[in-house]
Amino acid sequence: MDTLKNIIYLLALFFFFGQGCKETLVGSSPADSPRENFDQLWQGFDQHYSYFEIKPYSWDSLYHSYFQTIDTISSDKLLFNVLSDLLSKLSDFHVTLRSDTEFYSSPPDPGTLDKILLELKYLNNISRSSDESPFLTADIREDISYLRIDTFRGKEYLFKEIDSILENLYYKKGLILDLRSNGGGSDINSQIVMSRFADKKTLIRKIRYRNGPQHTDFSKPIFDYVEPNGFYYDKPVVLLTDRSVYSAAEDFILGMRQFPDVLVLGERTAGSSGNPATFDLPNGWIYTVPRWQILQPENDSLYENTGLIPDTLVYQTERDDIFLQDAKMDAAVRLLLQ
Amino acid sequence: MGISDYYSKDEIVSNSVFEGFTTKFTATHTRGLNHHFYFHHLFGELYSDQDHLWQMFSTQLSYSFLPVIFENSIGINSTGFSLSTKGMWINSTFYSGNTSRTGRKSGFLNSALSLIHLSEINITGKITSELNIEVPVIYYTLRPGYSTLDPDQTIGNGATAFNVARSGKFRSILNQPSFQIGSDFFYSLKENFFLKVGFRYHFLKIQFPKEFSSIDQSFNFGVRWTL
Repeated sequence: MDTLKNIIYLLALFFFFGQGCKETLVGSSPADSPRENFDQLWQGFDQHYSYFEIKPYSWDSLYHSYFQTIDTISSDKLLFNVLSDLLSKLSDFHVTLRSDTEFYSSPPDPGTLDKILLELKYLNNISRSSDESPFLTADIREDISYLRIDTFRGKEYLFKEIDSILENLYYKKGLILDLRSNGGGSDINSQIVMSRFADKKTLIRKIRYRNGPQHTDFSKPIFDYVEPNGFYYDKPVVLLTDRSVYSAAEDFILGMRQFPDVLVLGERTAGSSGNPATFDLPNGWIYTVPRWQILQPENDSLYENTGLIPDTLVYQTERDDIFLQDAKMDAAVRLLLQ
Repeated sequence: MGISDYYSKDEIVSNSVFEGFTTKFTATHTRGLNHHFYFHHLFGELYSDQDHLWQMFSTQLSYSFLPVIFENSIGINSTGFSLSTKGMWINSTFYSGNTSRTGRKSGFLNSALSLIHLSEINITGKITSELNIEVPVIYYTLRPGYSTLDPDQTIGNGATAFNVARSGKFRSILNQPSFQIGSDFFYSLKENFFLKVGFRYHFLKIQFPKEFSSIDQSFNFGVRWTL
């Protein structure tokens, strides 16, 4: 019996010794204070954010600008406002901060898509296979089809519907593919759709990851290709864009414009390409940090902030609004009829 | 099998500590006097102070060669080496209000050459004890990259198994400290059949590309039989 007791004592001794060593050997979580939350957020971006080199502010200078303010903060609401204000200096759609009750992100551009005008004036036989479907199809005239992709968010199988849609549209002369107000989503989904327009294996973008603590530490460029897949659509396509096109939808344009029968028409896109990772703060709030750069395959240039330039620039003017015209749709129809 | 009190920090995922109780399965086979084969599998959920989540899986395979160094009336002392491979996979999920966001995936694959000492002591006629200490000396460690998993970063050079495998780093006890102390007690029910209760204390620190450190304290219960 004494032996058994000794065993239990020994095991208990091991256990309590182990408990006591935890913080010494592994460390502890950062303290939940305004200063520590600010420092963690600042460092998270300092160590991972991929676009400092094209932003107008110095990240170090911003730290010192907010340094004094932080110690005067007395509420979560105030802390959220200060941290959001810091992040707003990056003007990046993929930069977000979320508490239990509040959410910050850079406000999206409303764009030029007027769905009511389109339905009243331009589109006939409007169809969508289900509420979940990202695709809306319609006829514009007897010989031109219209396809709008609202988003690239959602399950992959939803995007494979593109095969049957393109097959049904194929007997017409050409296609207007409306990407306006598409805020992006998964680049896997955008590549599923893109691959139906590819005539051969095509380089669509180059990617480099932030891979070190210096703002200029990046991996070697990764070459990203798309290959033909599914139903091949080889008729003329006019792709409509504007400043409301973000992220994976911009990836879609990057790829589509490599194909011979595709013309991009409209305005510059938003210029937001970051692929964010999620991290947490000591108070439990979560934030997202873009961690890669996308380079245009033709010249290795960035399009973050500036956006992708269309082949044909067409702006919506006040006159167009007054006369209830969608300038981009009108220009696209004219091009397809030529 | 047993329960493990796991306490860990992986700065690839978060600067917060995650802790919790995990389930552990262990199987051991001893061939002859000197050759020992081990299999460990551990899985469970760890939480931070703010209730963010890690789902963790870990598997270890090892072989030990433990020749007897000296033997006396109290017990047997063996010293030798072990070769082991351990993989750990972490999925992180962060919660805020009604929203959840997937965080980074992390973990490691670690192959190690370790020194081991084992003392087997007769406490009473029915109870024996094994005390062991294991200190890895040389490692080859694979970790996810700074921003993402290494296969993504090496796609430009071909994400082949060979390229991924060679993206690891050699480390020694000096820059990747680790140790395990274990204590098992066996109660003989029959001549060849024993009940076992044991305790393990395992510490590991990996310092690239960002620090991972963990303490794993496990109590385990089981049986041993000899042929």
